[in-house]
Amino acid sequence: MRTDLGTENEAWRAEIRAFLDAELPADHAFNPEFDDAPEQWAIAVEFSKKVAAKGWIGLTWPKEYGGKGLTPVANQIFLEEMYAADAPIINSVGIFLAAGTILVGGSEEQKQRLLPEIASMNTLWAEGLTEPEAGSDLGSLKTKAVQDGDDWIITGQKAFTSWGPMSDVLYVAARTGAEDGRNDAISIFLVDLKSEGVTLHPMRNYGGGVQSTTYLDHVRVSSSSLIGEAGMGWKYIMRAFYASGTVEPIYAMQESRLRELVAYCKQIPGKLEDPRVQADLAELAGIVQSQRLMAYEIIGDNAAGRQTPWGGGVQQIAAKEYEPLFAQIFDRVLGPTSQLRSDSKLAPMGGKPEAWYRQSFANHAGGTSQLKRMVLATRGLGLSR
Amino acid sequence: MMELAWGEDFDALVDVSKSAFVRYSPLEERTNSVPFADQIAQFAELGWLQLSDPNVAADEGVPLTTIAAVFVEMGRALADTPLLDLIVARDAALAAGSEHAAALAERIGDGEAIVLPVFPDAAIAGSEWGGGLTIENGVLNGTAFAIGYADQAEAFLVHAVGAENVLAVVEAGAAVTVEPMSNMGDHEVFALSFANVAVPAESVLARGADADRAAKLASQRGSVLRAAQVYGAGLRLLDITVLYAQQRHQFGGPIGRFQAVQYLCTDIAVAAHLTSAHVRSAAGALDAGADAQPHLGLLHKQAIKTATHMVHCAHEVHAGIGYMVESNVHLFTNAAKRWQFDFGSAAHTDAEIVSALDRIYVGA
Repeated sequence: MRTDLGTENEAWRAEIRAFLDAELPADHAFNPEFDDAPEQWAIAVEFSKKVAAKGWIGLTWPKEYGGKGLTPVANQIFLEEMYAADAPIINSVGIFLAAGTILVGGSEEQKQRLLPEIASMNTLWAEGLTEPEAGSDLGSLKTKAVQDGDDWIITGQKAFTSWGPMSDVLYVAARTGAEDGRNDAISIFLVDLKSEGVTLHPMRNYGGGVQSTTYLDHVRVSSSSLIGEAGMGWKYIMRAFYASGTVEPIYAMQESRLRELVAYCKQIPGKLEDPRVQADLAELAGIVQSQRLMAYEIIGDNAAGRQTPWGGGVQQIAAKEYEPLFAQIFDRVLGPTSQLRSDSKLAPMGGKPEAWYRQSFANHAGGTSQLKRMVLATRGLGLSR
Repeated sequence: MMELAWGEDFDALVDVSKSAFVRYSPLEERTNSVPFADQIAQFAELGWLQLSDPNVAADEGVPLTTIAAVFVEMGRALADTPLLDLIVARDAALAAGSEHAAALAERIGDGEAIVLPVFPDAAIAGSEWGGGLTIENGVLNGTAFAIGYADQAEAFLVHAVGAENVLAVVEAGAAVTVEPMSNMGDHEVFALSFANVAVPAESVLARGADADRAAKLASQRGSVLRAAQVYGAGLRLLDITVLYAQQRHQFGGPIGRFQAVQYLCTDIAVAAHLTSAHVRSAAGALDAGADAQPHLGLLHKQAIKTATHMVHCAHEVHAGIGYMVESNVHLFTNAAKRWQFDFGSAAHTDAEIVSALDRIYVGA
């Protein structure tokens, strides 16, 4: 259902596809839910380095910091194609969250030093935002950073650290202000994961991968590890998510799956003509297209310098709620065989639907659906808190 | 090129439409209905009967993405008018392409001819109702259901099927019966029956594939504008529901502070906004002359979903008071219920979407 985005953009899309055809390994299956299988990780790293070598990491960043200075639309097309191909993009924490933070709040020296490292995939980042008692309500985080001369001493515990064991540095949000201070008391630090006092404990997840619990026991970092200014972390985080001007194109991945599902159904006599199946497939198509439209609305608003109070809120809710819904409807079309794992000969579509279903529950990053609805209700619609 | 945008003069047309539809708004003055003939005169004066033209590329004429502004506001005001019906009839006449058809389109556009479209719904025509119009050897037979404003029409623009499908003008008096179909939509619709009505050659605007194409294109454009109306109604229903959630107090505060109530309000907001996005997408595809069918199918699905769900949420928030006629919620309930079926049956829409998926993804 994709609309032509114009000659230049479509040529760019073709260039990405040609690259993927040439460089993406045939056996590229990569569990996006924090896969730690060594052989898959090795493939992902090798492929990601090739993407970096093309200069395609940080497409919207300024050229002087290792970026390409391209438009958000060009970046969205790149992401769409990567997602559609199930290409293993590692270091998403570095590329989006960390780089976004550095771009909006980092010093010139930090931009010059850190961004090219991310763009070249030389430095891989892990996420250290969430805590056992501070997930969607990040303002409640307990990890503390206390100044000690020119250094900071960080102590606390982080949960769901993605890509922890495979990463080089941790993006840490820590409290540097008063206990009851919320938005103005959080600062962002870069912590070397090999530092003394850092301990990672694996937390296996339902999707088949691993995250970590990260313990920070009086970890000493230099003042240059503070990104931007102290106390500005909350604002940096909020703005970092929008720094690229793009939207994570989960819809592109879903559309690939839908395409595969339609082709699969067509092989079964009468399946595509079954009204119940038609209703489900139409629903899946609607889920894909609605998200695509929301993404492009936001990109258009960004390009025009408009705020996106509606599109932004609706996109976030849709993204949160449509991912598990997509998986549920997908499995309903396939029936009981959708539960068969990839090592079963009878598993449809190589057993991928079974993994997709499990992974669809990981839709809470950046705040739950309930949180997004509360934000839209209170900030967008003006209802009481 | 960005996928989603309203037309260039959308906002300006919104302003004009808002002031125009205040006079029609049943929410503010339900008894102040504007007489049918006066409505058409006002539409003609505003130039709204000439806004649409399927033969003119969007960069030359007024794009659907702009025209939609009128219908968003018409939906917001919940105004009951024949504007869409007249535009669809005119679009079909223009798309038919003949000189005769162009003359008819001009008269509709000037507000001089009240010609309403009678394009039997394929989804209903095959049902137990048995509706549908056939034409054989220039003789029209059959029944068309749910035709709005049929009692006010001077003539009907009929799409009839036969050995050779036709798009033809039939004088209103030729209908054997114009029978009201009482319904919960609070909107008068009629069953039109024709029995052995001779349709002379000069009344035929297009034949065969040309007739089908003209009727289909006009219907497609009409469905985009109808969905814009659903979006507008959703915005207004959201406004009154949020206001109620702010004003109604229970357990020591406004009910809008409860997450369950907030979710119901956000459901209306999400549904309305997604409809808006699909309207812009489908209108943009039609304006660009691209294959709009996949976009239209998804628009229809979203509009049906929105029409169904938004009133459910509004009733949940309003609870008992929403069930009373002193509240305005039932007005939206009736209108949305009617619109819900203006996009064809859900099954028909699903089948069309899957057909498009098959064609695009597999290459059937």
